[in-house]
Amino acid sequence: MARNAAFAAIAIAALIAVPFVAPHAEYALDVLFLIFLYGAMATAWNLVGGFAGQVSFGHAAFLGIGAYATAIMTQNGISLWISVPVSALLAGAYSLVIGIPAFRLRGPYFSIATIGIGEATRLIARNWSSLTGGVSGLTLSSAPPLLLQYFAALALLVAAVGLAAWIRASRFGYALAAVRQDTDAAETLGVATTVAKTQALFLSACILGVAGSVYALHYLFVSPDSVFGFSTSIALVIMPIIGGLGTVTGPLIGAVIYTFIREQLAATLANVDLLAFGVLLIAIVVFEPRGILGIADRIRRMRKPPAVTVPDG
Amino acid sequence: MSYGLALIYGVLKIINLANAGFLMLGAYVTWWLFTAYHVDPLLAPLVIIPVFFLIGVGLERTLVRRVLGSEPIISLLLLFGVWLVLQNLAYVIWTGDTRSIENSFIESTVKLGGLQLSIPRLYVFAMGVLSLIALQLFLTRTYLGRAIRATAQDRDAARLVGVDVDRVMGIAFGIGIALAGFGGSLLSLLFSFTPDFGRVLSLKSFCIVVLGGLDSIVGVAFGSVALAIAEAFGVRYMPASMQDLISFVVLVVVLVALPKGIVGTLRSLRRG
Amino acid sequence: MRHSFLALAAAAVACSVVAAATPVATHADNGPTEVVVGAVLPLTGEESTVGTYYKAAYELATKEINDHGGVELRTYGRKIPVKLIIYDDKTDAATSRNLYERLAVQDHVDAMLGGYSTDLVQAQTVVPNQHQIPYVGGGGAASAIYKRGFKTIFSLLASIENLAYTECDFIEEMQAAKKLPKPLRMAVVFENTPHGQDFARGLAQRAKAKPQSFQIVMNEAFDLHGKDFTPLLQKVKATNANAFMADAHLDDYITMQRQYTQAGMHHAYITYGARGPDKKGRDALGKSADYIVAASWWNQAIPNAAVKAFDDKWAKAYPKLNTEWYSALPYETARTLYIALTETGSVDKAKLVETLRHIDIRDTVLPGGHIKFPADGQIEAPFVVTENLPDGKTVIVYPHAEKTGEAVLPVPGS
Repeated sequence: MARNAAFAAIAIAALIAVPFVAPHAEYALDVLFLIFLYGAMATAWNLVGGFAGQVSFGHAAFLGIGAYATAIMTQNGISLWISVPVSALLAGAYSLVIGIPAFRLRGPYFSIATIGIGEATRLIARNWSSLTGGVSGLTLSSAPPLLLQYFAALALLVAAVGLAAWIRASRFGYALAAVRQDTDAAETLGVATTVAKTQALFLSACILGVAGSVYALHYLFVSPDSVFGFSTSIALVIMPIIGGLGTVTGPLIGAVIYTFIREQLAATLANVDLLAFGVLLIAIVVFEPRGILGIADRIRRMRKPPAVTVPDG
Repeated sequence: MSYGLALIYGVLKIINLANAGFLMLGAYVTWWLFTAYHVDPLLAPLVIIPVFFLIGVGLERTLVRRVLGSEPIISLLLLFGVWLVLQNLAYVIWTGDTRSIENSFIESTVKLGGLQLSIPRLYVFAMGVLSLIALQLFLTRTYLGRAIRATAQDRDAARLVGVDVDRVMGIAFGIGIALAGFGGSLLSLLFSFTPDFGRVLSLKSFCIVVLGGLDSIVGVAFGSVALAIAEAFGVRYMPASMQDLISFVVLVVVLVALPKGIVGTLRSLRRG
Repeated sequence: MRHSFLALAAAAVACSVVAAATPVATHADNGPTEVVVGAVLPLTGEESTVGTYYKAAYELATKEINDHGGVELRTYGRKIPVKLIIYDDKTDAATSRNLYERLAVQDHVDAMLGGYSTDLVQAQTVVPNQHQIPYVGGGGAASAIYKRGFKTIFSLLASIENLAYTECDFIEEMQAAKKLPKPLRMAVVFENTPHGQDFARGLAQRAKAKPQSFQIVMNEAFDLHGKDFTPLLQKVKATNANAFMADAHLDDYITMQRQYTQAGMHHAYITYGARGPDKKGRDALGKSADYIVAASWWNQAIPNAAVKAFDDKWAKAYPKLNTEWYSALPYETARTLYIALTETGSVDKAKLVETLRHIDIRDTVLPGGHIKFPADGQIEAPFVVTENLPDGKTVIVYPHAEKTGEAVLPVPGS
């Protein structure tokens, strides 16, 4: 644990130093910013999808609510000190509205229901034009300085990963793990499974709400199809699975891979990126459901004599 | 296409997200045969059904079987991956341009007692009803069909009475995929489409399956009618652009309130 | 162990930083080696037909400039060739915005040419505004885009409200000639974008001002890039409208008009806003596209020498692409940018914006021939009204200056 913390401290310090070492590398800072943002979002998804084993295909809804809330409040001249926390809470509140009924469903049914919820949210946003600007969405006219955005996204990532690490080691984390492994058995052991799932979803939604704020202020443009889009939800599913479902650093590793592949392919070879992710996803699910961290684990065991290891994530 | 979903679910207890991909692929193959080889779109299913059946059997053998034992979420994710691959393969091959099939049949209409009806719509409706009846007959009147039903009810018991369960599951998956492709081919006569074509429709078909209960074929017919009525009425009172919302809301409400579907709930009420 | 992955990530990050931190080539006093111009267009997806035309038109105008050695920039005392970068946004607004960002921060473009279709243009224009890069567009007509106070954005596409007014003027002329019923009971359906809202607003204002000529009996938005409009059309059928007033993009127009015909619907007057004469639509719809009236920014039938010359030039460059308004508008868009660059005499962005603000070009192929931007940046050019006639013929029926034939109204058989 101490080594983990020390390594994390060095990594954070290095990332803080980047903008001062290379202040003119606008594009590199842009890519790093995206990695932070996606990393935080993937970590948030993983609290529900990985820790509690409730795979959601509708998580873009929370990002969208945060993004719209911030965009609307910013257009009305409300300070970010107010709008960002409010965005987080609105996303959290929405998670309760949909989580309480949806968690009556188990496993795959929950997943299917979340597709429906995500699509319904997007359709409402498209049609509620007076609030959301309809299909064309809302635009903001000026962004905070890139440096500020960079540090905001970094802070969000650190907070999300820190929260995930803390949850994993806590009683709450064990309750979620029990839900994932066997919900009925967890119930008999006295775990309030629905409460635990709902709490995880709430925290996850709040992080995505803040990510939505950061998104809106960076892109200056929020539309139903961009923030509520199914492709956003898909990205949130893909990243943690690639990295390692239910681990602390897996989603972040997934986010790095996802962002690099997408940045390389998006402008030139449209959709080849998602094709590659689809193939990767199938391969991981069939051969190593623990993702890249699982593969690393195998390689390590091949090199070293077998020993009892506690996965440390 | 809902029947495909119901069949796969019933036999394998797997929710097949790849259905959306095969539905879309059915539409594209129909379009491609028509534009490249001038194959009449009405004949395309003759190619699609056997080919998709084989693809389904192959998919079951190579991938699905490997994850049957693990948590249900793993098979869901696997088929989600298959869908992602199919959809983006279609984007790479055919781009995201909107495609549609245009010939004189598609435009034709018939007057029936003052009502002008679109012939392709009637045709698609008739084919839907016919294939549902055929499927029902197959499942109740043939050995293979009965074996499929037995496997759906209890895999181990079926094995005990001598059903080749592995083979049956492959065939059931193949039929499910073939029906999805057939459905896509039919729908290409009515709508224009992009590689994202299957998503909303398969959510709808899932909604139908859920409405009718997840493992009854009669329920599927019932679910289709129920959703169609809900949409037709809903649209009168809300903007047409919100039409799809109806099915999503119905889906979520039914899943939450009546997890056994309407038919299942009625049944358990009668028994209770 | 696990750390090796964090280390790997950190290494990857470091590499990217070093690569991106290598200084951007700054040009000396004798000017840049090339003028970099960028655009992001919907080359695939729902708007790919029009996007492909925009690309062809931008390339044609750029080739003409480069064939003469480039743009003449007097500050550097020579001609400098133009490098045109075009990306594909797949008809997705978020992608479009991100790729414009890429043009700004990675490709360091000197100026931008616009994308196509209202919702994408609305999203992408935040980028040139944020980076203060001159942006000349010909693809976003909704007036809302230009009411946001963005100072570096200019557009050659006149607003949809004016399009609606022009159609109303034409309808009144037809009513006076007893060719259309008075009042005209309009079923208005529009895509739920600022484009469609502009159209509906324009018609609503006319209906309010002249209730004896126009009545609105239905007013409803539909989803952009929809796949099934039958429920909407059923609602239209249930009204007593005698005019079907739709505003739709090309793909929606084709889908909707096919379903309109399948549902056996008839009205004395049918319009889809700017859609109708498009060759793609006529090929796809056949007879179903006959008698559709459209108000458009341009038509190849405009009877004047400049239009004829452009039509010939286009046909020679792109024998497979019919000449459409979306050939002429983007061509003039790129030409406007190059003329403005020449007048500015350098690639100084602020000066280029200043030039564009005061530019006055006379010899264009647009109706009226005149390009000049008011304070909000959106041109105020006249429209031409066309009607599709059987056998693929299209005539200009309004205004009188451009007229090439007589309108056949009401729609026969209605």
